[in-house]
Amino acid sequence: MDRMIPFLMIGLVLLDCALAGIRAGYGRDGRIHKNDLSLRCALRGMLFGAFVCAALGILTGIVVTRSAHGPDIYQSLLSIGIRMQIVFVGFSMVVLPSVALFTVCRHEYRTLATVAILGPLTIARPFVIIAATAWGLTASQHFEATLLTLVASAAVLFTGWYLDKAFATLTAWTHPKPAAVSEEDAADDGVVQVEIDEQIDLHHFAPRDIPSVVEEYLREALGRGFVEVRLIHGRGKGVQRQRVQRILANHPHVVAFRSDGLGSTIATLRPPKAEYPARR
Amino acid sequence: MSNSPDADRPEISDLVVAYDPETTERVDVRKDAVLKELKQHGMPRAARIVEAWPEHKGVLDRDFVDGVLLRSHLEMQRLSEEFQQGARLARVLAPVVSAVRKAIAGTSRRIRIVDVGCGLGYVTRWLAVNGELGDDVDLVGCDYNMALLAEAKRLARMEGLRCAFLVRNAFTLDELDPVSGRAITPLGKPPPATIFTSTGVVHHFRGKSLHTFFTEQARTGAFAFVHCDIKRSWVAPIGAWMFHYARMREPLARYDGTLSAVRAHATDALFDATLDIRGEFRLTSFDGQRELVPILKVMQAFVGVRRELVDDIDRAIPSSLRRRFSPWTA
Repeated sequence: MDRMIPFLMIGLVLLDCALAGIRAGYGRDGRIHKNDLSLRCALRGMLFGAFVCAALGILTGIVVTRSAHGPDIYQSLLSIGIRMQIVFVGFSMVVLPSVALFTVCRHEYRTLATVAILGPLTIARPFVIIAATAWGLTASQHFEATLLTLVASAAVLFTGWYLDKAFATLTAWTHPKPAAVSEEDAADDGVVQVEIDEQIDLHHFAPRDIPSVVEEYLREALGRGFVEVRLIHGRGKGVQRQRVQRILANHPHVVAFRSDGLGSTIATLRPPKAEYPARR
Repeated sequence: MSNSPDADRPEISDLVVAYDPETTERVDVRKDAVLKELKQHGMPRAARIVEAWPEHKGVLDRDFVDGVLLRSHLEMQRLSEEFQQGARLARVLAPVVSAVRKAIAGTSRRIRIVDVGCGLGYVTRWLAVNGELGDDVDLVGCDYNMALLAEAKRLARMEGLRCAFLVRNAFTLDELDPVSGRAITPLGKPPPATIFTSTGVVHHFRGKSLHTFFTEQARTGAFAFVHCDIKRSWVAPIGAWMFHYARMREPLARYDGTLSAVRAHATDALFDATLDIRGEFRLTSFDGQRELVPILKVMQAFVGVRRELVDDIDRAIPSSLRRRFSPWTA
């Protein structure tokens, strides 16, 4: 049983760090599809947890081997560990089913799980660590064991804080700053706004609307005095191209048109006198 | 349930940015004016948060404010994700879209769902990915904040989503933009049948502006609106505090998130605010009914539809959800 205690403690630290990693990573990535995010954040958290465990293991090893009371200090650490694990395992027994409930449930029950269970558990976490440490230390009989326990607890306690800072730095490196946003970029929605210039991309319109859009576009283009315009209809089977070119062929102010072979038709317009006032 | 005095306290995010309502141009916000208003409302903690923000000649640093808002909205998106706001809206929206589609059948009109005050456009983007609303539905998110909109566009582009985001008053989409002179509705096309939606926005409108919020939607000729927001209850502020303190990092997100539950409108107040449009619209709420222990129904949707659509919507509502809608107004 004594041999199991360090491994169980390492397991609990890794679990806590995995959850801390998820907490630190969420709320920074606005994508809709991010199924891999939880796993990635959990792994980063666990990696950090493994580093903490290794560092604490080395520190404990040095203290135990260098001290004249090494075996006694180790026994004292095991006694502390047993008490702390009683608290941590009990806490985990509440956290893990809650996480499972949150993962499985939908809508109202999921909301209940996150607000009424996981939220309070997150807030309670540091207090649980402090309480477990305090109870564990009542079993300590050596100053070195007390000190090592306090260092270990502090390391775990600050894992969340450290991961949070680390993820924030990572996000700052990979995320564009708001200050870099230009007005042009913000105003360019790129989907439904129509700005009249010498070309129009017909991909944004439903096929049934193409004739009226082309008619209206030609009207606006002529009103602006454009002599040559490009209508982008795409390549595909050529249905859209034929539809566009049929309109051009019948239009009184289109002098000529030609396909460019790249999914566009270029039309040459005859400037009107005054019958095409622009809307603007 | 009447609003408490705290409900009229402003959120920090309502004060630190301002726009010209005509042109949607951002205007400078003086830090001392914000602090004065926060102190007048008895909000010292909010004042301390803003006090720490940088200023230039008394004006709040726009880039810094945008950075805080962007981070806060990213954190608040987590609330939308964990509460499954997209799916919640979609299930109320589906019968409405179905009825609107039936109403415009045989015409070349498309359906346009406009997310008012979309912020990062989470719900719009979610609907673009998962909504299964049909090819005849266009999704448009509107907000005045350019930094949030630019991020919404970046995210939509990154994931190849078919939705648009506009820095524009959502209620003037079918009019020529007064600044750019550009038309939003494609030339030669009849204006789409519009459905307005929002998530967590309605509580920002108080008093007369809440009435205006609804009358403006009617004025545009919209077919329907579905506005989701926190449901007012005695337990909502406790839950909001719990969630925001456990999940948020930005002090602004924590403060405003908690206050928003206090500011949530009572369902009755929303019905009262629509008196001016009752001639054209009939109204209902989803999950708006009062409950003794309202721990499961923390969000509600307030729905208004043109009178002629009500029967079709009733037929399209799944039987499993029917009892969660309140009776339609007369």
